[in-house]
Amino acid sequence: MHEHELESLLKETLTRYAEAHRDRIADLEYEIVEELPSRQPTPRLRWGFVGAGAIAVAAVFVIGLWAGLNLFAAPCHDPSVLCLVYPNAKSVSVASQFTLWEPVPMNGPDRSGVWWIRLPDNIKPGRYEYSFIVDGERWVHDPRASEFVHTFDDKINSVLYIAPRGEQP
Amino acid sequence: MGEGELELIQRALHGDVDAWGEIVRRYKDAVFGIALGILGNPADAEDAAHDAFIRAYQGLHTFHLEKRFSTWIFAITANVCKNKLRRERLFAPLKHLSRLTKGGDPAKQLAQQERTQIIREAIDQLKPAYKMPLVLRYYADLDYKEIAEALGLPEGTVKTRLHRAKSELKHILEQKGVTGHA
Repeated sequence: MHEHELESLLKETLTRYAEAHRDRIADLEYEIVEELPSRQPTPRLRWGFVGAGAIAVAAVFVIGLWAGLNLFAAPCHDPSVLCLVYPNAKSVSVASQFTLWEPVPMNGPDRSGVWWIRLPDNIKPGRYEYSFIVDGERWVHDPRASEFVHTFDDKINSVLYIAPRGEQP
Repeated sequence: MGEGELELIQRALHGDVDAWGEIVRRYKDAVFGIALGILGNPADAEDAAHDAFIRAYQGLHTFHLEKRFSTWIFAITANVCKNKLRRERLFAPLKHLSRLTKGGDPAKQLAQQERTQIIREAIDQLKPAYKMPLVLRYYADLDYKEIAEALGLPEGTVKTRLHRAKSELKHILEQKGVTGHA
């Protein structure tokens, strides 16, 4: 038996065998999604039954250190904060019409690998395109944005709308 | 990376389980096929695929977004299978070969089923250390470098193991009278 014959027999057998039993995993994605809400993708601190007093004392010492190391969770629930999860990036910046497309470094990462930046207070109401830049070279759109546009150079920009003060966007 | 895959992964990192569901939908056939190739038993392969996706979700923050997701999830699958083999000592021969083909000439089907069974049993006789690179190479189509990365082995070791696996397999199949022609 030649090597190429053996290789094609192997491919054929493994593929045929998997196909024959594929119906076993027909609903796998639904099973997993059902199981996941109780789980978290990123490690979170679980204090368990450690005494609250001990935690408070420890926190006094730890908070200062954590603040310096950006270990707090990024404030992504705040609508005036842009966030990107990119745990292994060395740096992430945002470039936008409101920065005149100059990259502005983002804070982070926090302990979950989230980078974030607060929009400037003096930003005027309007529509702004923006993109994240990972490690100074990779343009990444915001997966949380509700609108995207294709650029002339085949990139994807995210879009955000700033409403006048007191109005909902 | 596949279309929109990075975005799905990032959404999953933000806790969007539906995004992870879409990742599972895209990769479940490949992950199940690898697990089945290594474990040889559909029920165990189903469990392994399930465990692999759960573990991957839990460890998603360790995935380097600039790398190939497929290699990463296949590596997790191979590790889940390795642990399963170690834990349960699953070296039993194949038991579930009742339905391998659909339609066509029954005599031809039977011959094909028998041949598939013989090859499957031959694969099962291999040591896990040989079986894993073999499945990753010939089912998942990974190259040597990707297999090395997935199994945490030097590329040279992967080549040696694949070579030995094929030699052993060829020997077993020739003893059983299997030729390269159907």
